Amino acid sequence: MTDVSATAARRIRSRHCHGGDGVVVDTISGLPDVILQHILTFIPTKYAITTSLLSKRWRHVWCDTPSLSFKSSPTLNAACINQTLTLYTAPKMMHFLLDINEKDDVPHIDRWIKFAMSRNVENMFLSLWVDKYSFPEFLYVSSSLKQLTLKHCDTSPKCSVSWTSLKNLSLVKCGVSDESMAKILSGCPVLECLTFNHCDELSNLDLSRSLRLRTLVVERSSSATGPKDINAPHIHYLYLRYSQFPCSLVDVSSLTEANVNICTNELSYNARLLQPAVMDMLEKLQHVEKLTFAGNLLQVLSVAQLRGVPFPMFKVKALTLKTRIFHYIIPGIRRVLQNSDDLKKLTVHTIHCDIKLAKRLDHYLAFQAFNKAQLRRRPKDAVHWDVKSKHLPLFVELVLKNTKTLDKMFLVLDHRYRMFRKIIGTLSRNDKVSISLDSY
Amino acid sequence: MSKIIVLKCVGHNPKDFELDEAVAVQFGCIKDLFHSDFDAESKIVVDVPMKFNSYIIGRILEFCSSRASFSSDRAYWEQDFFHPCREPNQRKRKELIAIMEASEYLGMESLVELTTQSLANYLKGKNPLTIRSLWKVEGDLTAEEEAKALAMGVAKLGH
Repeated sequence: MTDVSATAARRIRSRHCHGGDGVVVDTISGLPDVILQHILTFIPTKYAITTSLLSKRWRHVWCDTPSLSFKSSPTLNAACINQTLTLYTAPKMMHFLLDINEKDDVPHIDRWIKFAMSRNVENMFLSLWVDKYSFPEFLYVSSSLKQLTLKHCDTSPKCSVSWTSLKNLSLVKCGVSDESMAKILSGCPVLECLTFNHCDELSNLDLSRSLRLRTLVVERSSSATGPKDINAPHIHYLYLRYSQFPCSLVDVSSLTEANVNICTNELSYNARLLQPAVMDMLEKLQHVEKLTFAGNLLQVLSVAQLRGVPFPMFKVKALTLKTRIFHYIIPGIRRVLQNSDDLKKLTVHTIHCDIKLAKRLDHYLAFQAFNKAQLRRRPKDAVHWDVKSKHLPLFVELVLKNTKTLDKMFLVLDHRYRMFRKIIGTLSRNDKVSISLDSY
Repeated sequence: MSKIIVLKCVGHNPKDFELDEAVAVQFGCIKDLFHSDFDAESKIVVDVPMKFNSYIIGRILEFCSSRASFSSDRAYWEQDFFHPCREPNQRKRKELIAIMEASEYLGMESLVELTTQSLANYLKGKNPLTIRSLWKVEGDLTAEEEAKALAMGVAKLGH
């Protein structure tokens, strides 16, 4: 190909090349700068820079891309990052990612953050797994930041915080106290979404003054204890994942959707402590229209049901259960369905749950003078609830028997349940409930 | 329920696609039509520009139908749809770009993000020569320009 026809071929690109006329054309270089830069925002800067060696057309695409992303590695040291910043020309930054774990980089971090803020960065991700680094004061004052994620950071502002445009804040494995959190919240007037992931120092989370906050996500690992109390009267959506240490919901009166996941893979599971706390939480969730119960929560509810603990009446309209299907969940599910007079839609995801808890449940119930037969209620129901039996159709029938207003049921089955796909369709005895299947 | 949107594709392989509401509301440029004031029985025809042929629109609708059918975790089959880890042939790569452009036109932000991310994977971690041969980019830098770029430490950073 001569130079002229190569250029001509490049210009024609997307108009004719789908037609399969066999012409080999450069489809990507013909895209406008804006689109190429958008593509480059998805890759680390060290790879984006490589594109400047492709051709004349590509020489300045990376340096005008409104996104920079640096991750510590043996080939990316502070000098490289500094040099990249001198070559960078974009006046405005949409995304800035800094993932540092080398102590040699610590003296430069302030300068890099300042660089990003000088370009009015909107979305910043800082993962700073280094010792003895605390944020400069200028980080806490920004009118451009809309989304901020901090990981492994010690977040204790000494000055007042002013993030006037911040809508989305995520703190992952950060050291942040109740006082620091209160300071941060008072400086975020338009905050809509807040995420805490393993922020152990928090104890009382008071979100009553965050009037625009709509979404709260709290993830605590088995060893984490915080936050213990959550006061969030304005939120509409709550995602809560924790293990044996209870979490108390003080005020969640505006909630329309909640997803509660208890995972108790730890051997030091404490049913006595957990079950009352879970029932208290259910009281606070009884008005919520869309609920998801996941992990081992249903097993805890079964314990409560067998102990004769009263359950609230639920206003739920759409219920999702993510659980293993076995006998330990039956009493809990039965009671929840019976107490849900408005339930229209039920979705069940079969997942693989650890059975350590179930075995502990046996032990606990034996200790409490219950036995397995009581779990199954009547000898007729004494089914061996595992994948090999026909328990899934039985489960579906149990659901249909215990619901009054159900319209739709979705079953999302993992590979172990594929054998049931064919017969599920025949299960719905009445025409009122439609049953759909999906699998992954 | 009786509102029907028809996507009319002209060009190489003309075809009309009828969309139901669950699929049509995923298109940013179309969903407002469902809420506008018109006779419930009528059909609305949307003309698709010639550069988006019926095959591409068909692929996009495949994506939308899968999405509309079950509103839960989509991560699994979305990965499946685009096979970002594989290295499909030239035709598939062109198709990816075409789907990206068409979904941008139709206002499907999620599909734009997905296709852009897949395209990014073809650039990530590859040296310039590999990228040039993958995408048939004509390398037209002069020796001087290339040396200048290398001297600025660009190639070193690219590893």
